[in-house]
Amino acid sequence: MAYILELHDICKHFGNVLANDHVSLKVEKGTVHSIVGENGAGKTTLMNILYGLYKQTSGEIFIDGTKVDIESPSDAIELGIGMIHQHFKLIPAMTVAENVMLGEEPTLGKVFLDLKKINERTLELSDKYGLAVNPKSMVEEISVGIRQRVEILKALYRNANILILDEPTALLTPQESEDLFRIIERLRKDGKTILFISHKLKEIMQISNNITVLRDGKVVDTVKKEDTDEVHLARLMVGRDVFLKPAPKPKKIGEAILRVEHVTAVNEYHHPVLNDVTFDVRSGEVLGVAGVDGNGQTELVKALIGLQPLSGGKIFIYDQEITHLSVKKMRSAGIGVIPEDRLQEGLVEDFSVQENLFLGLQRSQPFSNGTNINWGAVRSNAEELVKVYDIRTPNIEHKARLLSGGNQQKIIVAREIFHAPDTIIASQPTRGLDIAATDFVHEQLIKQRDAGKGVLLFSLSLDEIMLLSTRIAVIYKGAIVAVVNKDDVTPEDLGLMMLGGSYEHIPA
Amino acid sequence: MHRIRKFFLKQQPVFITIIAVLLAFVIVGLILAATGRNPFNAVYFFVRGAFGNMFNTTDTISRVIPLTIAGIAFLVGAQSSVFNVGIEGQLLLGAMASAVVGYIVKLPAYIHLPLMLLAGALAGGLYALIPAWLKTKRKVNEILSTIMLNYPATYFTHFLVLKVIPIEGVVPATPFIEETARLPILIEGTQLHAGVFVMIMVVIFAYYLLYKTSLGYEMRAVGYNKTAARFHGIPVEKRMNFAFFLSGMMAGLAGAVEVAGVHYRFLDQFSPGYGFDSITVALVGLLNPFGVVISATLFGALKTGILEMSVYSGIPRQLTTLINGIVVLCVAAKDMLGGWYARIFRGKDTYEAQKEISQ
Repeated sequence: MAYILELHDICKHFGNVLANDHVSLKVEKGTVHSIVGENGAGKTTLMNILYGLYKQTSGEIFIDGTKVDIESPSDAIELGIGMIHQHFKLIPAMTVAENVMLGEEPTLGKVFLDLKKINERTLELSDKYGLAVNPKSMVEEISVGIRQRVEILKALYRNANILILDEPTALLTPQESEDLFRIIERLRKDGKTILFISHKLKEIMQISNNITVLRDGKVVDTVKKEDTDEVHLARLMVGRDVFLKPAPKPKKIGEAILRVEHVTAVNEYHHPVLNDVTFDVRSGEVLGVAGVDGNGQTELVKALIGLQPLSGGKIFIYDQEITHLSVKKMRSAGIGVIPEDRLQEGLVEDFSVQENLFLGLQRSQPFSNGTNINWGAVRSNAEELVKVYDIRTPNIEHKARLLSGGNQQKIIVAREIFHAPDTIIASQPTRGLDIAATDFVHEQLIKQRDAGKGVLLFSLSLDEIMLLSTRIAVIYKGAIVAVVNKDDVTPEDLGLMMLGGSYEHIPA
Repeated sequence: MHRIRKFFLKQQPVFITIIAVLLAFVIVGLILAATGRNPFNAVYFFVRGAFGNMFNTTDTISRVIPLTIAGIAFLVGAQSSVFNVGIEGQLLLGAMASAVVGYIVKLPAYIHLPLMLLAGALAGGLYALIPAWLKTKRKVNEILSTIMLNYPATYFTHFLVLKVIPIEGVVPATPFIEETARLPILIEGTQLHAGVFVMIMVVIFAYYLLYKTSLGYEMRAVGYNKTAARFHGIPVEKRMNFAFFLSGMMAGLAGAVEVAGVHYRFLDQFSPGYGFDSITVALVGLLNPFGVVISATLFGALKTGILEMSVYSGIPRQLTTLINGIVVLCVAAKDMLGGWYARIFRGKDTYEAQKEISQ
C-alpha cells in the first residue's frame, strides 16, 4: 500500500513540555484518517507542524515516499497540503470567489482582476465536489457552514491533495455537519486524502477509514474503523472507562422545586420570545430542554435568573414567588446557573482563579462579612475546589484567561455546584469540552440530582439530553410544546417535535 | 536563568513602563544634543531641581500630592470601567467649595479642616453624578460627557471669583481661608504640608476598597466584564454610579487639599492641569494605587526639575511641554515595545510563552 504521508518519530518541545512525543503515523492515499484525542493531547500541534506553522524538534516527514522539509505554510501548500482551521481566515467584505482566489487571482493584463474567470473557476470547483456555494455571495452574509466550504474551496484551488480539517464540526449545527460529511466522502472518492481532527467519537466512527488515537502527545494506537467502536476509542483516548452512558435511574423524585407558570416575554422589538411557558423541575430529576437553537432557550435561562423582563406569568421556588426579583435575590432564593457563554457570562477572565471561584458569593459567608472580603476563606475555598474538581492551573492566583476552555468550565461548574443551590440551570454545560471534561460535568450534574436537587439542562445536543434527562421538555418558538418521560421517546420523535411536528401520539 | 526569564515575563507591564519612561528621557536627551546643548548637564540640573535640596524636594512632594489624589480619582473610576476625563472640572469645583467653606465658616480646627475637605470632595462627587446619570440612564459615553463638563466647571469658578465673590487683592481669587481650615506646614520654610497624610490615606483607602472589600471586588468585576457581573447578581449600574461619585469625590478632594495646603484660597487658574495629568499618572501607574504614587512622583519631579533645568542650562521653558509630551507618547506607545520585550525574554512563538507562564 502506498502511503501519501508518513510521519516518523515527530517530537515537539515547548519549553519543558513535550507536546508531541515520538509520533509516527502512516496515512493511506484516498482515505479519511482521523486523529483523535483529548484537548491537549497534541493533535493540533502535530497538524501545525505538518502545515509548517511550527517546526518539529526532531523527526521526519515523508510525502509520497519523499522526505520533505516544511518550513512554512507556503511550503506545505506547495506540497499539496491544505488546512482548514477551526477559526476561518476569510475576509467578510469580499465575495466567496474573491476569497478563494486571494493571492493567486487570475488577472487581465496583470492589472485588472478577471472577475468573470474568478467566478467561473470557483463555481467549477464548487460543482465538482458538490459544495453548493454561490461564488458571488459576500462572505459576511453566508452561514458558518458555508464559510467552511469556502475554506475547503481555497485549499482545493491551491491543488491540495491532503486536507487537514481541525475540529471542523465544532461550530456547525448537526445538519451542517451531515452536509460536511457528505462533502468529505465526495472528496475522498475523488482521491483526496483527509486528515480529520476531532474528539467527537460518533462522527469519527461515521466518516473515518483509519483512526489514530493520541494521548499526552503519544500515539496510543492506530486502528481501522471496522475493528473498533466508540467505547473502545473513548477508553484509548482517556486511558480509563468513561461515563458517556445513560445516567442511572434517579433514586427518588420528590416535589417540584422550581415552578414556571405561564411565563411570557417579548424582546426589544416587541416580538414574543417566550410564549406561555409552563413546566416544573422536581427534586431528584434532570429536566432536559430540547430544541433547535434560537427557540427561546437563552431567554428562558435569563428569565429564570432575573435578567429577562417578563410580560406575564410567575416563577416559584418551592412556595416562594421569585418573579421580577433582582438577579441577586433570585440566585439567593436557590438558583445556580452554568451559563451558555462561559467567557462572557460565567467568568471574569481577568480575575484570578480564586477570585472567579467566589464570583456571585462575594457578599456571603464565609467569603465576606458583608463588607470585607475574607481572603483566607477565598484561598482555602479555591484550593479545595481546584483539588476536588481537578482544575488544572499552576496556582490559584493565575488569571482565568490563561486556562483552557475545559478548566474554565470546571471553575464555573465547581463554583455553582459546590455552593449548591436548590436548582441548577445548566445551559450548554459541555459545549466545546473534551470527553473527560464532559464526562466530569455529567457526573457532577447527576450527583446533584441524586442529592435531591432539581437540574434543568439546556442542550443543543440531543445525545446529551437523552443521556442525562429524566423528563424532557421540548421548546419550539418560545413555547414548551411537550413534556415527556425520557423512556417514552426516541431521538427521532424529539427531533420531529423540535421542528414543530405533531406530538399528540406521544404519551406525556 | 529560567526563573529570571519567568519573572521578567510575569512583570512585563511594569518593566515595559519603566523602559518606556527611560526611552522618553533618551529621546529628550537626543533632542537636546541636536540643539547643541549638553544633555548630561541638563539631567544634572533636572535632578537637582527636583530633589537637589530640602526646598526642591518638598516642592516636588507638594506637587506629587494633588497628582496622586487625582490619579487615584481616575483609577477608582477606570477599575469599574468608568473613564472619568472630567477630573479637572471636579477638582476646580471641589477647590471652590472648600475655599468657600474655609473662609465663611468659623469653627475650631479639628472640625473646620475636615469639613472644608469634605465640602470639596462632595462638590466634586456631586458634579460627577451628572455624567453618571447620563451614562447609566441615557447611555451617553462618559468620555465625551466628562470632558465637556470640564468647561462649565472652569468658567463657573472663573465667574464666581470675578463677579460674585468680592476680590480683596489684585488677582481674581476668593478671600483667604481661616487658619482653622488650613493644612499645617510640616517643615518650617518649605512647602511640605500635611496634605501628604491625606494623600497616603487616599492611597491606602483605594487599595483597601478595591482589593479587600466586597464592594471593591464587585467594582472590579464590573470593570472587567459587565455581562458576567450582571449574571452573578452585581447591580452594574449602581456600581458604576458609585465609581463616578467616588472618582469625583477624590478629584474634589485633590482640589480641596491644594486650597488647604498651598494657596489658602481659590486662586483663579491655580491648577496647572492636575486633572488632565491625573489620567497619565494613573495609566503610567498601571492603575495600581501604589503604582500611582510612583508615577505621580515622576510627573511631579518633571514639573519642578524642568523649572531649574530651564533656568540654569538655558533650555527654553517651552521644551518642558515637549518633554512632558514625549514621556506621555512613549508610555502610550508602550504596547509597541511589548513585541520587542517579548522577543528578548520569550522563545520563538507566543504559544510557547503562554505555556511557559502557565507552568
